[in-house]
Amino acid sequence: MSVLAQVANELTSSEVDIAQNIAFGIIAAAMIFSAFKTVTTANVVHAALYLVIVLAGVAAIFILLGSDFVGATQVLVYIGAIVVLFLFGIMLTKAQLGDDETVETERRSMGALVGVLLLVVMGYALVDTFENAELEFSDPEPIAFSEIDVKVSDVPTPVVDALPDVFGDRGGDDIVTITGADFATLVPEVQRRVPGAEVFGNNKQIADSIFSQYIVPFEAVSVLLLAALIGAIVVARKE
Amino acid sequence: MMLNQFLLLAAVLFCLGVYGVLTRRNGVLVLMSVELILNAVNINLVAFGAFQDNVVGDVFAVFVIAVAAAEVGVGLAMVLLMYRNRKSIDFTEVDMLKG
Repeated sequence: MSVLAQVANELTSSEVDIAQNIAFGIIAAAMIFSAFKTVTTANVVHAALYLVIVLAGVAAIFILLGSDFVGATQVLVYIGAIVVLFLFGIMLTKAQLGDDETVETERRSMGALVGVLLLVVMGYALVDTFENAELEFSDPEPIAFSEIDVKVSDVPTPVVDALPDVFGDRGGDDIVTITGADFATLVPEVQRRVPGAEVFGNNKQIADSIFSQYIVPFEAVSVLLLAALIGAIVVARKE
Repeated sequence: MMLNQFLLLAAVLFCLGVYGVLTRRNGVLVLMSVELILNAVNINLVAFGAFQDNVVGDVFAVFVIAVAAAEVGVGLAMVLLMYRNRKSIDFTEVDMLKG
């Protein structure tokens, strides 16, 4: 077991909650600052780089919410691919924008008005509706299998002594199959000793969901991506 | 953690994205602001998924990411085409369809 996991086991839930809130505060502050710079900075390349910070913050928020798969997808697709596309777009087009100061100020004040009004309305609705809604994370999935093969040398001596029926006089590199009630006794030890025995996150449920209930939207998205690929080539190629 | 802290963060990101779409003239920067909006929506989806303790929010967030990738690809191709034809990517100059 890693040091980190040991530390996490010793923390009470309120301590974990405080740590999560501190992490959220730091990430949220960085994200809002970077998002503001993305939409206000004059330098196009800087805007793309601030966008990277926002996207990485979103990935961190996903992981904070327990959705590690979506967080990983966010990093791969957004930071890995989309930002690179943006940088190509910036380099292939030279931005020469004549600045008309009065028009620009008017646009900015109108945009700020719309943005602030929208924020006030949405903020009021959210605070009014979800004032006391608390996020509670359920415990990780119990492991799905009920028997396991272990090497006797991997099992700590007190456990071997406690289960003479199972282990008998075997030792060293012998493989022992543990089932039934003995397995329940062993679960914490097995989880600690056998890599992959402990199931973290909700990747399994996401996969089940995508490939059963949402298989039609999934196939539709694949066709959409193909259409977008062909469309982008057709639109952007020279005659 | 409260649900609202995530929803309010997403609301702030969404409004900054709307501000960017309304004020930016450079086509690439408008597309970046659209990405901000889509990410705000994704935070909402995942936060509600965690709130209701199911994975539907995550699944839809993955779909939104895929659609966003397609959108950026086509959008940037169109910006490139516009630059090639007009030597400018100022969205305020594109008014040929205006009656």
